[in-house]
Amino acid sequence: MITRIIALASVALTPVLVAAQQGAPASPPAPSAYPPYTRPVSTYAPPRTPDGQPDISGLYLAIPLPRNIETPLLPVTRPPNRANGEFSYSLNERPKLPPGAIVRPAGVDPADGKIPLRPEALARRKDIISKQEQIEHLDGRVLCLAPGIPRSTVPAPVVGYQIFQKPGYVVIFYEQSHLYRTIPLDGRPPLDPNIRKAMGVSRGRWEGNVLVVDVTNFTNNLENNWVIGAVSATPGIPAESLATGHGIPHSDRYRVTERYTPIDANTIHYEAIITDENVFTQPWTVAWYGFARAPKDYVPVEYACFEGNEKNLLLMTNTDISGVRVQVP
Amino acid sequence: MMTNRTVAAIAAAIMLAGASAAAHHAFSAEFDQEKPVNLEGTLTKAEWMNPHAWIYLDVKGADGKVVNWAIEMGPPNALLRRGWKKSSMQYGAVIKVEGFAAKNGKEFANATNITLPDGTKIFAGTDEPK
Amino acid sequence: MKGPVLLAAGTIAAALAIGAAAAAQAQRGAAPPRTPIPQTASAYNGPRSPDRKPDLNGIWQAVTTAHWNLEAHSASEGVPAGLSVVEGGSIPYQPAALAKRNENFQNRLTADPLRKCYLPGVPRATYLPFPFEITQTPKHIGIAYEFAHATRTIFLDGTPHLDDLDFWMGDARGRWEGDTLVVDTVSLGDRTWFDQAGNFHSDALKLVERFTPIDASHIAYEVTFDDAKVFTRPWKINLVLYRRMEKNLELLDYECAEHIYEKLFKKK
Repeated sequence: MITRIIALASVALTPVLVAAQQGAPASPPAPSAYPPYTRPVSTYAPPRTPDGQPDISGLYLAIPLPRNIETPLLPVTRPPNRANGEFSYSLNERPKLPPGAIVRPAGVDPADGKIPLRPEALARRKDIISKQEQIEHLDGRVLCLAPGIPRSTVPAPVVGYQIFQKPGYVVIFYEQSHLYRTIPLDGRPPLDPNIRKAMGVSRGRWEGNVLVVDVTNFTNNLENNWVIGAVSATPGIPAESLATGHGIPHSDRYRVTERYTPIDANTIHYEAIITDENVFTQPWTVAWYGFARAPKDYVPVEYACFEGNEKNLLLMTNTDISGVRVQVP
Repeated sequence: MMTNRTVAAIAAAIMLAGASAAAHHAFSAEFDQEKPVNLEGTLTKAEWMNPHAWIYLDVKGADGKVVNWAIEMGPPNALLRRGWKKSSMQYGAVIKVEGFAAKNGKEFANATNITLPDGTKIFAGTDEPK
Repeated sequence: MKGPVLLAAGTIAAALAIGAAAAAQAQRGAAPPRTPIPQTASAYNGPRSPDRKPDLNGIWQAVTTAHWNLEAHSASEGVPAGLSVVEGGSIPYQPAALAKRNENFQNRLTADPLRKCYLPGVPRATYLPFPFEITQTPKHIGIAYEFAHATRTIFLDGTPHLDDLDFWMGDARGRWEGDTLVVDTVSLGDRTWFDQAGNFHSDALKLVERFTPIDASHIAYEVTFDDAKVFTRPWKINLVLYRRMEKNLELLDYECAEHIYEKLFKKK
């Protein structure tokens, strides 16, 4: 009995899941039932780097709460399912939210928590999601393409971040697929529009203790370059209510303004305002507690994605990429 | 005592329930939660590679024929943080795998649990916290 | 080890100093100065970090033919001629390994892992014809490479190696010996090549890199290769790394995987 309920509920992924589990709390409120989003105000004053930046450097993990962009948060009702706990976040420690933090859906504006897609973008999204078994339409993250912004900061298991600071720059290394960004702080202009980067071109500044970064010049060579989205799609969920942000290509007007707010010595809050007039009806905002300082003995390790992906692509799309060769300089 | 199928279904539910914070791709794109497998075979190869480590087992089928299975495990980042290393499994060792078979019917499977020759059982799959 | 490298760096620095001084003297019509005695301490006079180490922050690039072929070679179509960067000229392969290297060379257009957009490994990433960026802190040095956004993190925190693992870019632990950054790298696996000519290694490879800054804009880069399964003895290469001086330079994308998919999608 319980087997079938769990199996069904895992596919349905609605509050029915919650109700069906014995002793589970009531289903969570819709996003609009949360208080209006306000930026966290912190009295925490970080120490300073030698060149006077607020020091947020160090090793961090993601805070492992559900980060569905569009649908209500699902509470963590199941107990840890492995003898040694939640492996993903390393050394059996699970980063905790800072005191007083509200757990809320990732989409904070508009208040309904839905991605404000233009009708044609929604239609395209449905089409793309229906074709995920074709490699030409497959999620770029699964292809091991760089996931872009803010997707690289959507919490994912197994991988963390390293924030470096040097005079005039913040540098972020992402464990996932060995991505990186160098964020200059000197107010230089963005690059020529003909230069595109998968992680965009970043220009940062400190506003008090908050790092504000404007990111522009995103790659959109392939429809698979999805810059918004959580890690995996949910099978069986219709595209327009997809809880993951999947299937949304961006145009060359796509740009993001990020805010990194240190809350305390161990937590950084992340906000991203997303704009693309060709895809969305308005700028919209996601926010979550994005970075928790890693345990003392955490060692970041290499996560090379593309090299080991051939079998997965074969199983998912029946495409063998192993014979393709390209010229390199 | 939970049956194989119950264990498999619960494991599947756990794997599928985490829509947002999951493996680099959806389990269900490749493997079938309705096709649990239990395999026992000798290790012929181990590929310690992201996004998924793979091990290869020579498995003797019911018909006596030996077939080489490719078994997908979690990412090495996760495995090594649970104490796995390259030498955790020796070539020629007899390994047991609980997992799920590939949708395409070929000899691929995704591992949930691995039992080493000394009886140690380790979770080898990709955890998907909700 | 330490002596010869510092001597070499000191000699290069001395040579530069001689050249500059001689030019200045020549302008004034006086005799050039006597040859300075090479210092045993580093002659580095460039910028230093707050913890008094040479400041290597910035964008660097090798200017060399090593990425085509570490050994001396004449030109062929699309490949310039190049002197060897290997001390002694040739890589000391064991006989069977030499045959394998030659086979790699014959098959290089399909067998070179770089042409599959696999990570280049170490030290190939250093001398690819792409810039890389060093971000230096007392406990970690992050190196970001433009090619396929490869990265390495060098740990200077005294922690031991992660061994018995395989990483494309290896596991690196570093320390400063005077003004030389010394980096030990293990766990390099066996899937990378050192160049486009098929020079290769086994999973027994251990590397020691020595970054010795000559001045603010040049680093003498030496790598010792130790792999008893492939070579008859350890061997070394030597290169110069040049600081990219252009204002507001930043690493751009070489998202190699996109090139693979674009080619694949066109074929279908």
